[in-house]
Amino acid sequence: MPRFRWITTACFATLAVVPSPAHSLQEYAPGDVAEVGTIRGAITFRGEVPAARMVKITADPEVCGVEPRFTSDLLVTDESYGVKNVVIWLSDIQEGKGWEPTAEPRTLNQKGCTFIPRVLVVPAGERFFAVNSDGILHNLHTRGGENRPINKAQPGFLERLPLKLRYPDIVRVECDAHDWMIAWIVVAAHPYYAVTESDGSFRLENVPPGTFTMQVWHERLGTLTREVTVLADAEVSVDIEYPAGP
Amino acid sequence: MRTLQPVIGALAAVTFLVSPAQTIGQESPWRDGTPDPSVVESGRRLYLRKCAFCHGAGGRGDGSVSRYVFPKPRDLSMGLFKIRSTPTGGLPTDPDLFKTLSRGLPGTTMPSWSNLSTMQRWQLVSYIKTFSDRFENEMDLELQPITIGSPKPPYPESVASGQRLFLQAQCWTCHGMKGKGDGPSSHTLVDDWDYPIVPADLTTSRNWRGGYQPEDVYRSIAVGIGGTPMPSFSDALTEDQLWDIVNYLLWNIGS
Repeated sequence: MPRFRWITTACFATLAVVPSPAHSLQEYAPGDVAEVGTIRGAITFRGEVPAARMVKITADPEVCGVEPRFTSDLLVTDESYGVKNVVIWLSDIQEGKGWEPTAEPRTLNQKGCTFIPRVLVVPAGERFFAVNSDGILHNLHTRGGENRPINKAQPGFLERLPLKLRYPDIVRVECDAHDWMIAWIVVAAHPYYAVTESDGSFRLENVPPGTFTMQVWHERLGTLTREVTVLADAEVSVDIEYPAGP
Repeated sequence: MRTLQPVIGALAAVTFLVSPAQTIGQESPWRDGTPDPSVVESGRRLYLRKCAFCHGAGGRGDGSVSRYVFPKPRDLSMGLFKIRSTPTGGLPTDPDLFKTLSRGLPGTTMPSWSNLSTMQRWQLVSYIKTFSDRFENEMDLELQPITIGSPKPPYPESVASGQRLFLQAQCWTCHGMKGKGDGPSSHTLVDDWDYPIVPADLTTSRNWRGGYQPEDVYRSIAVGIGGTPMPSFSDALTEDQLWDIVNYLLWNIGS
């Protein structure tokens, strides 16, 4: 019976050593929400913003252009120091609204050799589409994390490519054919996710009353955590500034 | 040249028909995926003697000679392997790993380990899988090997269709118009560890990582090469179209 003994040992070892993956912690039950409040705020950063990186267009100049382009992974407005493309979500909410139906499926568009939007929120396990508006070869190459890394080609003739990501996570997507193309797919366990506008503002609506952990994530500035208390029929304002340190 | 075309076609067809069958990559000796711990332990000892100087004692691709070789030895801790018969995102099967050990990876410093006994290679397979917890965590995810049908005979129409598809699907963006691996995007490619990587030179089929039998080439295009920029084309191309590209690569560019 050595084989069975080994299996048993392995099972216990797995329980003891391997931390539970984050997705197993996400329990969320959508339902009717009667009393609700709103969280609104802005994410700012007053530190030094690195200069935009110049990329030389090497492939497909007829679509991507011939002039060098400038890309930046940190977009901060001059006036209010608001940061664009910050993801905000309530990580421990267990009950609340369901996903609002969308007229069109959610899409990650590849247009002008850029991913649009740069940060896309999709419900976990729901189908969405990669759209190729350029008519040239792009590919969707994801990295690590909770979901299995995939790399799918989307040649110019394949306008829509269905995709599905199963576990809540923030997945980096790249196009290898055009190395400046980067997007982030936020795979959401529930609808209480927001992405900041260019002035850094965000809103989370129809939140049931309670105290929640709010996660704030930016691709370059990293993750912050705040506690937020929501009251029924009230709007709570949460402004967060990323530390300016190195 | 035109008069020679039928002769070349006939030769191609004959070679195609007599090409040797796959002889390696049998069924794993433990079909339920759980080898005896003594097997894993034998694999560990063998790994430290034979593999660790490239792949590192911890399997992270950081062995003592790793800095001197290109492409760099694979980091085995992420469950990402170049050669697998499962769709993109899947783990390799045991026979996939056995096959890679037995054949090596042509064009790299990974040699064939067919000098080891069959059992020793299976022991190594069982140990290599312990470097990534994906092999335990994702056992419930059903990702079966893709079905690879019978190769399409390399008639001129198929080869010509393959050439058109090579252009339309823009394989040349990385591999170059003549398949030399010098396409416009070839200089900016990195692997999943951000190390620079070059596209395959398709004119030297003996160096193709996944092998050069028609079924091997089909698999490489259909599921991609794990951890590298080579993507899976199975969403974009039909089975028939994939075989046409295989024929173009084998009987035009790579021959």
